Amino acid sequence: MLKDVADPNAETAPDSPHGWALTRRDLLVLGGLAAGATAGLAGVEVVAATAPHDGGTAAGTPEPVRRVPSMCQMCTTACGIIGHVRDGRLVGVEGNPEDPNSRGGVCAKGVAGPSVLYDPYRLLYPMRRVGARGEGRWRRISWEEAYTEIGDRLRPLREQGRPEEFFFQQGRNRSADAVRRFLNAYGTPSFFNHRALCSLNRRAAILATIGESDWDLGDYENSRYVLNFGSNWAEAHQGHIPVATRMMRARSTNGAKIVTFDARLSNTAALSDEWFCVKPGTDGLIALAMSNVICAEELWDRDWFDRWSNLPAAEYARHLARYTPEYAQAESGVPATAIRRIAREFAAAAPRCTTICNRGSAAHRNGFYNDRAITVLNALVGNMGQVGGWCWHPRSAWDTDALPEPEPVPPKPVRRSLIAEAKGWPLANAWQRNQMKVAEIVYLWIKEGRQKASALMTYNCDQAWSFPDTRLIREVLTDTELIPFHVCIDVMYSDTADLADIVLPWTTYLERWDIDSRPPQSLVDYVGLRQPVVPPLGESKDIREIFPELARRIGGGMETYYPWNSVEEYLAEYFAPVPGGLDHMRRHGVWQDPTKKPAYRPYERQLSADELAGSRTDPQTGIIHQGSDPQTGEPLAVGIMIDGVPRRGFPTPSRKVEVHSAFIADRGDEAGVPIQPLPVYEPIPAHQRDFAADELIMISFKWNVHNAHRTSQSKWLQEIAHTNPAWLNPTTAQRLGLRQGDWIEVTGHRPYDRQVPGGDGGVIGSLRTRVHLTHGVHPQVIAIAHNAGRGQGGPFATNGVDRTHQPGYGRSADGDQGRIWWAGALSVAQNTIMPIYPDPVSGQQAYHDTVVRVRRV
Amino acid sequence: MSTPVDTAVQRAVAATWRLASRTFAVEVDPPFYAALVRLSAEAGLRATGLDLMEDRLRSLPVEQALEELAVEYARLFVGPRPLVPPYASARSGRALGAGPRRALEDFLAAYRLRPVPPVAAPIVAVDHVAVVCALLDTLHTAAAGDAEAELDRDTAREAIDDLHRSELLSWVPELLSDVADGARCGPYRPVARITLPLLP
Repeated sequence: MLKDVADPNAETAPDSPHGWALTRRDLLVLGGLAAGATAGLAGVEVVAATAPHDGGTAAGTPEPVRRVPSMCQMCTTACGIIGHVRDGRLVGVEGNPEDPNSRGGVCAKGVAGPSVLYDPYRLLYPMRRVGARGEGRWRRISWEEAYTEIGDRLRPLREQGRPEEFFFQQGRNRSADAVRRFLNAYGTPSFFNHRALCSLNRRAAILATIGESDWDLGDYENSRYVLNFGSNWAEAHQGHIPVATRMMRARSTNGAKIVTFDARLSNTAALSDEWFCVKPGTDGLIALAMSNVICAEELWDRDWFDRWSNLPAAEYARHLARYTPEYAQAESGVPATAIRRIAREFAAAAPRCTTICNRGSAAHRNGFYNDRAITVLNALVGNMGQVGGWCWHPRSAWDTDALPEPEPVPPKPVRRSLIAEAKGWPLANAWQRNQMKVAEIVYLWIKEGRQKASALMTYNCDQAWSFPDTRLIREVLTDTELIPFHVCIDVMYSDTADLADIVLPWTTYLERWDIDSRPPQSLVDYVGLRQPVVPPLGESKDIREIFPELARRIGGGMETYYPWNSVEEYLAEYFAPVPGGLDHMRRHGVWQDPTKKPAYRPYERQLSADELAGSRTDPQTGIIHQGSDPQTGEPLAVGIMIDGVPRRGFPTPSRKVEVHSAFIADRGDEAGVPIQPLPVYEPIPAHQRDFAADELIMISFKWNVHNAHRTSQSKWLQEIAHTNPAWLNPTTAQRLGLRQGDWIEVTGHRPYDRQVPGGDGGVIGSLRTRVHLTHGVHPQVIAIAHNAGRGQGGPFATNGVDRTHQPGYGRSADGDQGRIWWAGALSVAQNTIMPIYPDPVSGQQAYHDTVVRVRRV
Repeated sequence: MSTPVDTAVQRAVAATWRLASRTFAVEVDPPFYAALVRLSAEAGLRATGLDLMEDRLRSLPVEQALEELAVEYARLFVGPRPLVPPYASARSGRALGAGPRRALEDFLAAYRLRPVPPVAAPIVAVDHVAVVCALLDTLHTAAAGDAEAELDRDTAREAIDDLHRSELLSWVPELLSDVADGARCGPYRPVARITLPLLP
C-alpha cells in the first residue's frame, strides 16, 4: 500500500483490515505531526557503519568457530561440555573428553542447550507484579529498582533479629557456594531444597550404613553383574551419562549382566538383560529375600562380613529367615525361582557385582528401608569398595581441603527454623553434613502458621508445578498474608514465577560461572568450571552477581563477605591451587590431581604412626580414638583395630558397616518415631488391602529428553516428547473397559495413614488424560510422566495449554507447524493429584504410592 | 528527479516509521507520554479518526498512566509470555535471533548501516520490529534527501525496493496486525494501524 499512498496521484488507499483507511492527505498530516512529536526522543538510531558488522561479512564469510569448555546443567549430572560459538552465538554443544566423569559423552538434553538459551519466551528483564498475585500483569523494572526493593524488604528482618523469616527455596542448585555464602551471611536457617522430593532415602540409607558418603558409585565399568532396583540411569538418573556409558562398556567388555526391577519398562529396563515388573514399594523385600538365599546357601563372603560389619553374619541370617523368596513373590510379583537364581548369580559374580537403586526403590513410604536392604545386600557378598563392586567416594564433589572456599566465609546461622529442622522426620537432618530437609511439608506448615514467612526467594525451582499437592502450594503462594513478599529467580516464567512479586531473569548455565563437580564415577575426585560460553542475553544475571549487590544493599556487615570485584576474581582465588589456576580451568574446563588413585577399599587403609600418635584403643570395640569433638567433648574415632592392625574403617559409630544401626534407632526414639535398626520390609499401609477394580497405584517417571521445568522450555526436546498419557496394562484396561486413546479421569487419594499429614484417605483432586496401552507397566499400576502440565512459560512449555502461537494450533509462521507429532498433545499436571506423603522415618516424598481411582469419561 | 509531493510523502512515511519505532522500542516514558498527549490533542490528527492516547489514560495521574502503559508494553512485547513476540526469529518459530536476524544483518551490512538501540530498550537482536521500523525511517528519510549520513537518495530508494522485494519484512504485517488486534490501550493499536498500510 505504500506504493498507493506514495503515489502523488492517489488520494486514498484501500481500506485497512482494521477498519481504518489511510489517505495520502492523512499520511501527510500524520507524518508532519509525528515528526514533531518524536523530535528529541530517544529511539533506535540507524547510523552509518564504519566496518562490516561483527556477525561476519555481507559476502557471507563467517567467523571461525570458537570452542569454549564448560559444564552442562540441563540436568544435575553436570557433564563437561564444549560450546561451539560463532559470531557471538552458540551454534552447538558437544561433550568435553577431558571431563573424567562424562568423558566426552553428552545426552539429548545437553545438546539442546541452545534451544533454552535462545528460547523466545525466556525471561530477559526484571519484572514487578502490577495488580494481584497471579493476575499476570507485569511491568519491566530496572535492576536498580529490583535491588532497592528487595534490599528494603530483607534489610529490616535482619536488622530486627528475625532473619529466619527470610525463606529461600531452591531447586537443583549447582552454585552451592554462592547460595550458602549469601544465606549464611544473611543469617537465615530457613533454607529449603528439593532433596526430599529426590534422593533423600537413598542418601540416608547409605549414610546410615557406611557413614562417609551419601552417594554410591558402583564400579560399573569393572563389574560383571549389576542389580538395578528402580534406577532409570539410561534416561533420568542424577549420574546419567557417567553411569550409562560405564554400564554399556561393562556389557561390551566384561559381558556384564544387568537385571532391572521396576514397575515400568523404562529405557533402562529395556537395555537390561532381564526386567522384572514389580509392585511398587517391594524392592527392599526382593533384596532381603536374595540376602536370605545368599545366607541360607552360604554364598556370602562371611569373612568380609564378620570382619567389616557390626553384626555377625549368622545373626543377620537369622534376621533374614522370615524374608523368603515365596513371601517376596507374594508381595512383589517376582517369581521365587527368579529371586533364588538371581541371588546365586549375583553372589557368584562377587566381588565384581553391585547394586544400583534410586527413586524406583526410594521414593516410597517405606523407601528408607528398601534402600537399607539393598545397600546391605552388597555387604553380604563382600563387594563394598572392591574393583567392580559397590563403591563410593568420601567426597561428593571436589576436594575442599585442596580447594577451600575463599575467605572470608560467613558462619552458619544461629537462629532456628522449625520447618527446616522438621523434627517429626528423624532421619531428614540426622547427619550434620547432609541435612536434607522435608521439602513437601514447607508450604503446608507455612499455611498452618508453624513458622512465619515474611519473605520468600525462589531460585531455579517451580514448586507450584513440581511439588506434590500443587493446589496447596499455589494457594499459599497466592496469599500475601502468608507470604508478604516473593522474589523468583529463574531462566523462564513458571507457575511459581506467576505467583511472585518480583521476577529476576537468571542466566542460563551457558552464560554464567560456577565451580562444580559431581561424585566421581571413576572414584578420583576432580573439579570443573562452568564459564560463560556466550554473554548473558538481555539483562539476565546470575546469583553470583545478584547476591553481592543485594548484600551491599542489605548492609549490616553482609557486604564484608563479598570483597571481590568480580566473579572472575573470586574464582581466580578459588582455583589458585590448581596448576595454571583459572586460566587452566578456562582452557580445559576441568582439573584432576594426577597423583590421586581410585578410592577402592578406603576402609582398609592402615593408619600411620602420625595418625596414631596420642590415640587410645577401646579394648571392647577396637575403636581407635584420638582427641575429642570440640563441640560435644566426645572422643573422636579415627579408626579400628582389625586383626591387630589399625585401619581407617568406616566413619560410622562402630567404625564398621552398620548392618545394625543403633544411631538411626536412637534418632527415632528421640522423635517418637520407631525406626528399625536392621534392614526390614515394612509394607505400605495404604496398599495392604484388596483394591477395588478401579483402584490403582500411580507412579511417575521422566522421559529421556526431559528433566524438569527447564527442559519443557526447550522446543527441540518438546518436539521429541511433549505429551503424557497414562500407561495402563492391557489386562487392567480390559477389566475397566478401556481402550487405547480413551479419555479417563484419574482421581488421587491421600493415603489412609495416620503417620502421614492429612492421611485421611480423602480425595486430593482429579485429572483427565488418555490411555496408552502397554505391557510395559505393572497391572496394578498407572504410570504418568511428570514432564508436562505446566500452565505458564509459553507455547512449548505448556504443551498446548497456550495455543496462541503453538505449532499445530491456530495461526503460526512456524515452519514446524505441520509436524504431525504436535497434534493431540496432552499436558497433564500429575502433581495436582499427588498428596504430600513423606516416609515417616526420613521425610522422602512417596512419589510412587498414591492410590488413585480411574474411570472412563 | 523527485517532486515536492514525493519528497513530502517520503518524509511523512519516514516520520510515521519513526513514531512506530519509538513506540515499539521501549516503554512510554514521560517525554514520549507528553508528546503523545500533545499529538492526540491535534485537531489534524483527530480529523483522521486516530487517537494515540485515550481519554481514560489521559485522565489518570501521569505516573499511573505510565504504569498502565508499561504493563501494556510488557504484555505485548516483553512478557512474561509476550502476546506479540517482537522478533522475526521468534515469530517464525526459530530460536531467538536465529535465521531472520542474520538476513537482516546482511542487509544492513550491504548498505553499511548499523542500528543502535537505546540502552534501556529491551532489544537483544536486530530482527526486533523497532529496529526494522527505524531502518525504514532511515531509508525514507534518505529517500527524501534529508539524510545526514552517506546514504544518497537513489541508494536509499534502491534499498527500500530491495527491502520490499525481499522476505525481510514478510513477518511485519502480521505483527502489526496482531498489535492492532491485541493492544488494549495506549498508542500501540493506532500506531500499528497507521503503519500497516505503509507496507506493500
